[in-house]
Amino acid sequence: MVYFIIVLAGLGIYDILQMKAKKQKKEAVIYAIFMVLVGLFGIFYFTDPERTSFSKLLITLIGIKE
Amino acid sequence: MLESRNKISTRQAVILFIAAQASPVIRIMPRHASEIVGRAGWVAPLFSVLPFICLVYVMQLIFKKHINSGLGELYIKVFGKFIGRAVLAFCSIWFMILMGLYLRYFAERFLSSILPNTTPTFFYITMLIAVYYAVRGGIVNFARTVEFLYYLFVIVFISLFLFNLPNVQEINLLPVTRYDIIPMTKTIKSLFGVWCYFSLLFFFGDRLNDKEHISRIGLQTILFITITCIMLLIQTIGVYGHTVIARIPLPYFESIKSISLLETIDRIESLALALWVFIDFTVISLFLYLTVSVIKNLFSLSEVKYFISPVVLFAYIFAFYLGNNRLELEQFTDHIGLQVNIIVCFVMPVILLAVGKIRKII
Repeated sequence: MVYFIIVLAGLGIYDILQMKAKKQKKEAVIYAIFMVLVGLFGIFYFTDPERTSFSKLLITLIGIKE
Repeated sequence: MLESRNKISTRQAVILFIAAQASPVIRIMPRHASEIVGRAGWVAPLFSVLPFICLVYVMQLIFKKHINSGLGELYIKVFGKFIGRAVLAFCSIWFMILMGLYLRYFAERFLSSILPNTTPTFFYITMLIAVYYAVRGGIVNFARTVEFLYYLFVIVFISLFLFNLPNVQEINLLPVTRYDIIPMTKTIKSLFGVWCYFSLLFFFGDRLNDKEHISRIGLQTILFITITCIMLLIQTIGVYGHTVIARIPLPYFESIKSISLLETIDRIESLALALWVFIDFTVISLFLYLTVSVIKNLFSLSEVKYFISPVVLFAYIFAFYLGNNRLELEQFTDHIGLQVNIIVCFVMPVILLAVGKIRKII
């Protein structure tokens, strides 16, 4: 998880600095929101990698048996 | 001239589609055709031709008056800002899910064949780095790279088919009777669920030239992909029989393993794997490009190359989270993936055309 956060933060800072230099304020704000959401998703997954998978959740939801 | 306008031709876009559809078709079709139809499964692709032709003409009609627009812009124009943006948001989420799915299948292929003790992280990171730089370079460079590798793909695919022909047994493919017709119609969901990706090319329709030739190029495409799909099924079902193919995880890979040239040269499945890496690279890159194109329309952005980073990071995590084993991935594909593909890639464009005609926008 630590490496993931480091890569996320590194890419985020690099891209936001480039957008700031090009005065792309709207793009930078939406980009930052996306990165925060992806970061939260990463933390959600890495806190318990053994949790029920996305496929299993959906398949159970629609009532398909194995 | 085209490059200076940062556009590609419809022919180049269709080559992207042909390369991208190869990976899921090779993975899905032999198993489904064997399970559903049996030994006559190699004839099943013919039944998906008609829906594909309908899709081609739907796209031709949509872009008749809007030659310089993309599909995303048309969704907003026809459905209105609120519903149009909701549709685009759903599309972008679905494309990100598909990107994670194909990334996971890419790793699974190696993990279940030649590199079973390797961590999947290695495959995810190497593929995502390649895809990140490919898409960041822009659609023109990406399309030209795929166009060059595509010709190589065709030569290798046809060569492997010809080398495998001596191993094909007639008893595994015949007879084909009228009782196979109904089961063959059931394979339409499997094959058209992938072939409908044709409509996704038009999400970057503002980057496509000569859209007036959609129908001509589309009809040439269906001929090519039908023939290659039949070749794929002949060399899988024909070599091992439908009962075996229905049960093994990588039927095409296993059929290639049976090739032995002059009883001396064998083990050329590594060539098939190299080919497969290329087509997986194409499909993952295509969905990455589609996602950022849709995000551009969704938020009315001027530049989207920076959004490649969060989408790539999402795909990395989602590839882990998607399923705990191959069975879950296959269940997701069979019961959810193919159906949602048909809704997003076929039903929604048809609804777009209908509503556009009623509102006199298209």
